[in-house]
Amino acid sequence: MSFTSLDDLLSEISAGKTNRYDWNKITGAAAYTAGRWYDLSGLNGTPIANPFSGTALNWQTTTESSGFSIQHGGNVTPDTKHLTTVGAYSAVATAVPGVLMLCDLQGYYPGIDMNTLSAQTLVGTPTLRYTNGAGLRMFLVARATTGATAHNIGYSYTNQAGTAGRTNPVTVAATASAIVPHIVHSGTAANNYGPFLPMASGDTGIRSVQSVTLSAASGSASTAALCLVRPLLTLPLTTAGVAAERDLVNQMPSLPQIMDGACLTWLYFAGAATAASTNINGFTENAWG
Amino acid sequence: MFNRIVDVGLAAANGNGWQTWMHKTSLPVFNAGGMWADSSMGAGTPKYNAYVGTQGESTPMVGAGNFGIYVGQPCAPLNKHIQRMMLQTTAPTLAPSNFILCDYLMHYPLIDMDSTDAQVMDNVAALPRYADGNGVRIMPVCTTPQSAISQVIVGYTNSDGVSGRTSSFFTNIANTGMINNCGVSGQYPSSNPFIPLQAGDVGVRSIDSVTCQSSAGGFCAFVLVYPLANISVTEATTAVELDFIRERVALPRVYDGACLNYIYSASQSAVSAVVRGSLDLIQG
Repeated sequence: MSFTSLDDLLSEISAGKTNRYDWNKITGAAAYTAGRWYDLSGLNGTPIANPFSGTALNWQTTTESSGFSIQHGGNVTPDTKHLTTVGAYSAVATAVPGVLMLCDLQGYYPGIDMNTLSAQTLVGTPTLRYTNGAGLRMFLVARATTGATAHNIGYSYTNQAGTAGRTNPVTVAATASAIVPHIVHSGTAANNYGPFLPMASGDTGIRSVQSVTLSAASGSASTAALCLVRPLLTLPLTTAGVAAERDLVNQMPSLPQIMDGACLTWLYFAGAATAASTNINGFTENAWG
Repeated sequence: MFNRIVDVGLAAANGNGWQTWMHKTSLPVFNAGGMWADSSMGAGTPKYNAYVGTQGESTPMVGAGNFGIYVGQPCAPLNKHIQRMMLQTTAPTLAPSNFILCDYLMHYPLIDMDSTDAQVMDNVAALPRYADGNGVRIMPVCTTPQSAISQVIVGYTNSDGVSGRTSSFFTNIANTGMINNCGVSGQYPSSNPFIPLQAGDVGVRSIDSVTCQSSAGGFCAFVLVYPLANISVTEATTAVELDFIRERVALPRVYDGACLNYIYSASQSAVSAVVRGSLDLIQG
């Protein structure tokens, strides 16, 4: 089922089939760099930080009940749930301009060794909320500060059609000495791509990832997590102290669907050198019917 | 319950609603930009909230008369919803700012922030609204100034009725009326209105204990609230208006007995401002 009219949407909301969640995230002890993307799921705040637990290189499925998701009201099948309004703001000047991106984190492969150039075989068949991985993207996020030696990232994955052996179509450079929670391949340097790793020509989704190979050891013992996400919406932050808001019914008619069990997390694009311990507040509202 | 948008219009045309106004003549003064504060502790209409009660005892908050923004009379079996909001400030120092309208449900007064003993709450009363606690959050409101930083551990019962849940936050040096909740010790920019909850929790049914790891000074009221809606004031003297049907596709529910007030945050410090606004409430 889904909403058949605005009247239907109003009726469902009036009957209480709606949820609101206030969240906040606090950036870490080091300032962020303009032009880079960061995964806010690993930061303290509400919800709690994603610890990226699990056996190294083994797939970990994430859901709303994982503890670090934006809570959205539980499973609603046979109804469908949709985002209706989102907003975010920060009182800190260096948090703007910035962009927030809400994603459904399907899961991750933890413990990618950033200090080896050996091919790392990833294990496990991902459980996905999107059939065949349609629309999924992936990114590599630092879980410890990586080494200062320049290194590129190579990867092999299975696309939405089930074709294995798909690889990066371009050279993808990781940032040396990437801090937590930098998406290591994003930035303003040559061969940086963000927030997502480039996919082979014609691919529209990802079912699983088979391996990650660095061109060189970064030089310091460090790890990263490879995450599979479905992007849902973007929200530009323009002015310190002023809320950025998206009405997803009238302003940007889209009503992004929240799948049952979705693990909603935010990515953040730093438009300026975001100061340490910067608080970003926000809220999400959704409805189902 | 409204089944069609036209039903909302018909309710308004038939006078089945209430427009209420608030006018705060002064608000608590921030220690630093980025903090959150409780407008219920400002002077004006609705009246000043002193968080009176017995120390550590759960004290329900029920809107009546001028205590909380007046929302009209109870309307059961009809449901009451917010259709529109408006806010305006005269003070440049309060723009831009962000406000959250909350239903204040219950508070635990006179929590001694100097004591490092575990202060066990006396839950003589339950939540008067949102009884299961789903969506209910905790905010520590400074009622007598804190003079030091301290980590505070809060024990609570979650919305599933599971007790023994814990969370922690940091106090900072804070004026009366501040929501003294920082995510990072000594960092005002890490202020947040609501204490984070333990993994998986989506609400609070009651507070069980409060333990300060060091003496912070003063007293706090720990308040359980249900956040209803956000609104941003972008510039002084310009009223900001929000129509929930057209701009948010939401109709925040206002339960009989709701005790409504705003919490707010601004980038600038040391603000004490006049804030006024209205709520258009509709019943159906």
